[in-house]
Amino acid sequence: MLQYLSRRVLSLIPTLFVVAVVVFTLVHMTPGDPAAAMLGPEATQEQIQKVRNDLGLNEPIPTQFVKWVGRAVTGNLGTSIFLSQPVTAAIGQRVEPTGLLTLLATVIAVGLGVPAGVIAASRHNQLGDRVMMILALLGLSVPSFWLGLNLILLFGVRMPILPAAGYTSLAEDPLDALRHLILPAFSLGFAQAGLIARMARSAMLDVMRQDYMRTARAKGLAQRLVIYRHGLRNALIPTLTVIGLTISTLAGGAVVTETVFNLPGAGRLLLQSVLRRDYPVIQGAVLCVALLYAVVNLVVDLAYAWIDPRVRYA
Amino acid sequence: MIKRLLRNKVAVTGAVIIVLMTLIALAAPLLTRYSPTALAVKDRMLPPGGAHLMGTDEFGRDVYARVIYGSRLSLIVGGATVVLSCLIGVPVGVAAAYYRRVDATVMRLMDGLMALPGILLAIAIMAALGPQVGNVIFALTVVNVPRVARVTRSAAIVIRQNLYVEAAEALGAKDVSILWKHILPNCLSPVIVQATFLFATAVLSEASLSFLGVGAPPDVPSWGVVLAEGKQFMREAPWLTLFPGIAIAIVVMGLNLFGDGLRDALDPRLKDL
Repeated sequence: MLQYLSRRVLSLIPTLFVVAVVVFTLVHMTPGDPAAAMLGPEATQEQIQKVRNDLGLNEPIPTQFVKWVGRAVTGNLGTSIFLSQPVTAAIGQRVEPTGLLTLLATVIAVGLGVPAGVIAASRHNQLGDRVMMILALLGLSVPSFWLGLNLILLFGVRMPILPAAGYTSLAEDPLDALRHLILPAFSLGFAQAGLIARMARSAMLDVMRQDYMRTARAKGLAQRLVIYRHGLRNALIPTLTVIGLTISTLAGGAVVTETVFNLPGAGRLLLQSVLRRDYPVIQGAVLCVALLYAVVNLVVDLAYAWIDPRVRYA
Repeated sequence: MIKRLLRNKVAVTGAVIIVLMTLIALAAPLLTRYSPTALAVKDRMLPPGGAHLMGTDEFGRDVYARVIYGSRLSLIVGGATVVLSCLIGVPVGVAAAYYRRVDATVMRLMDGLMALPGILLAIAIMAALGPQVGNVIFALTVVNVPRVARVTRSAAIVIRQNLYVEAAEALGAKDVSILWKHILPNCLSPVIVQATFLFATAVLSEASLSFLGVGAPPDVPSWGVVLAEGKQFMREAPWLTLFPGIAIAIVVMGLNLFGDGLRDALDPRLKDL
């Protein structure tokens, strides 16, 4: 297991290196002078020169890259041009709503998706299966931001039972923080619930064809016991991979959802930074999400290896 | 295969939706007498009904015309993204399956690109390039090439282990001819299925990007742009967000249904999976 762990951690390095190259290249993909683009048309030549110096844009590109990576590895992601504060601090201040939103959306996606998939598989080709799969298809097809807008209209305006926008911090009032996150988390998690439901259903159907399921049924176990004890456990393994992917998709989707619900999170910071071309923040935020993705995938892979020993020796 | 596809109710439903949407996009000028961009201040914020089937927006523009013309942009962006992603991703995937060196280098690059949520990478690219329809296609292609390459690669790895590939190698066939004649045609089915789903995701992504203001420019009638404008008046004029949202959902659902049906028809073993 230790060997697997170290192999897996080492394999992250090339991936993160590519991410770093991509993130670094972003600034240089801007047509014209990135410093001028950031400052807008009214900037004076002096201001542009100052930003170019601050960002090190006058140095050769390879030198810039090495310096940037060197700083990023030590946790220094530079300074936001617009907010005049370190990027790590700017992201750190806004990570709570984003983290909670992603977590709650994951809980909703898994909590709706896995049971829906199991119900669909256990009623294969019957009404229950059809209903669940139509719901899952709806989840995949309805844009999450549109679902969010409709939820705001329905539960925030017409039947005002939940706050339609904004956020209260966890330290201030944990219950109110949760209330603010219910609608955003649902609109974000619903699509992923559809994906998980489809995956769980197909994994479950696959498992139900196995010999040990027939044996379990043949020895007279109740159908419910067969499904939950023998079926679900094994079907969860492939489902777990999808759940791992879900977390990073949700973290990306948070940008959209936070904008719809005016949540003061890291996603909205990223979008605002895009609109005002605050490149250090864009680079920093994208890098953080890539790191999160890498860590989540690592954890999922380890969980996978722990559940299914065949993976470790493959 | 076509016969199996035609017998598949899911695929046929999806195909009908896609064909209808394409016809609507092509025949947009015939389906409405309004221009999607013409301003008519005296007709602003009219509810659906009468001369304006889906109402009008804050500038008096006809929502029905904007939704109908919006389908053009969605289908163009989705279609172009899929075609470009496949034109780049398929050769990369096949080459990676056949040449170890390509596999080691190019696929690492692909892994790195896939280590970012698609929408985030697209937003970041759009941040650098600016809101233009061509840039949206470019950004979504960068996002999707690795996904096509990965699917092609795993299909091609299975194919290259077949005896007929070994036979062709033994007969001294050139690599290009083996890849082109023997490997490529046999690994296309999963790629085609994947392409359908990518089309659906691309339509959704374009709408999201435009909604956020980093996709199509504001003067282009994209469903995302229409939704973003309608958001401000959602309370008084819910029709501004209702119809474009339904349009997106219908197209994406059609593509997803077609993809599901196609997968069942191309590989019956995967049915129910």
